Amino acid sequence: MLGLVLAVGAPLGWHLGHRQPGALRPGTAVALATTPPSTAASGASAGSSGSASAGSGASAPVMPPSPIPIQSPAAQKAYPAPVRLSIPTLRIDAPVIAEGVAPDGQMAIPDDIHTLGWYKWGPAPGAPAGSVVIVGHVDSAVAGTGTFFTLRTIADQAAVQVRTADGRTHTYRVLSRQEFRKTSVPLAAIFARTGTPRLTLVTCGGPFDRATRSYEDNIVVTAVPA
Amino acid sequence: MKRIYAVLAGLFLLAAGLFAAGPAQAAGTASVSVVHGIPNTPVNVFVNGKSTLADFKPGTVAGPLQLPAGTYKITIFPAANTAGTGTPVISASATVAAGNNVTLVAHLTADGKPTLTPFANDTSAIPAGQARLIVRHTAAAPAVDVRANGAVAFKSLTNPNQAMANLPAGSISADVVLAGTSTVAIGPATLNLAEGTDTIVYAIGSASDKTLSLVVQTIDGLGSAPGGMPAGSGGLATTGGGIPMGVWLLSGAGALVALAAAGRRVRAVR
Repeated sequence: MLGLVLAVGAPLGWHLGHRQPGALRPGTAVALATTPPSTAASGASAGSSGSASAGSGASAPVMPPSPIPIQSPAAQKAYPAPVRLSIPTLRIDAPVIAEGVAPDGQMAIPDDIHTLGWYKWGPAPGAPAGSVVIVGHVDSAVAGTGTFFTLRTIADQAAVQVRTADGRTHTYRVLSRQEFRKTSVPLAAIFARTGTPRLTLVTCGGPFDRATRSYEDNIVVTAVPA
Repeated sequence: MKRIYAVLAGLFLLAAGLFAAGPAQAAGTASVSVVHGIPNTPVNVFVNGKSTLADFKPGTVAGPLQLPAGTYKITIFPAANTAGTGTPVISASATVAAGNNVTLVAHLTADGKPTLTPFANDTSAIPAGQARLIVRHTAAAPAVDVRANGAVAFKSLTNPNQAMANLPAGSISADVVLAGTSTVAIGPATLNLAEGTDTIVYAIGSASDKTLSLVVQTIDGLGSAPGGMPAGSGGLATTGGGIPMGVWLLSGAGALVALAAAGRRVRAVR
């Protein structure tokens, strides 16, 4: 029961805690080379008294807080890309490369079945929120078994280590292992950029359709920072 | 225990999915940003008579702010005028509807007069791997073409209009030329088009005063998930629709063990 409450409550709580209606998002404006340099200088004072009207909101509903913060051109913090993944209990240790979207709109997967693909448009390990997605082949028709051939046998609480380009190792513990028909995979949740930080490992499984040479299911393993 | 984990994980994913869309637009409010596109004129912005943006510098973006839907009276004075009295540089009213995402741009008209133009920002979902580029002509300048990596992306854009397109995420080199020519008016500038993000570029300033430049506003969190994850073509790991290879291997191993045992028993009997 506690687990149930946690499962729903944790992301809900996080979401509510981070929503802050009316709060101002960190500045995301990017100044170009041709933009006057004043942008950076005025960014520092942003938000210091942004909630000035919060306490006296009764007087005039159509009145913004004062002053409106200036968007600063400070770049969003970039987190180093994952370069290697290991799951000692499954004797998996494989390189990870960045992948985007294939022309058909699906996630691009490395050609090499012994190389894993990290979804580069989503979070990287260490990011404060969202799902780090790493996908690996279960097998291929020509090359045999892939790195994630045994992923569907992973044990609860198994350790998953992800090394990032800066040399850091991020350790996760397996929380769940699920199987979905590809027609009903919760893609929005798997690729979410918000919510509890987590690692999502994906491969194929389930019945194999010999006509289309593809599996009908996705195996989805969710792990949380240890 | 396993079942509990599966249920737990299902709820976890469900919960994560519910919130994957990002912060929900609070009911009854609009998201409002302000762009200052008038060169050499720091200003004070008053909303409904209240000082809201003090010493707002040209070429900057303020906000976004969640404002209750409604009509706002906006008056803009030179920065030196902190009282907000006398004749404003710009006086306008802007109506924002609930759920809208709007940018109010203080800029020059094509013939150089200060004005305020509200633009509705497209915050619809962007396909995975792509970025939305929006270009707004808010400069005292004639019609222009906008080029991306040397090729014309938007033709004959005039003040105060906009053009937009979805492009692959990544860096582009953009410049602005006089329409139908290769006479560069602004740039080139490197634009980082972030995935799942609106990058809104404002051409501001005045051609005759040689103060043309660009201001960039971004709206993130508009991305989509890819359509799937095709991660196997061999059929070695098949389950459910038939007996998986692993089971056959196990079965084969079992058969060997059984045979060996049978063999030993036969020998023992002898």
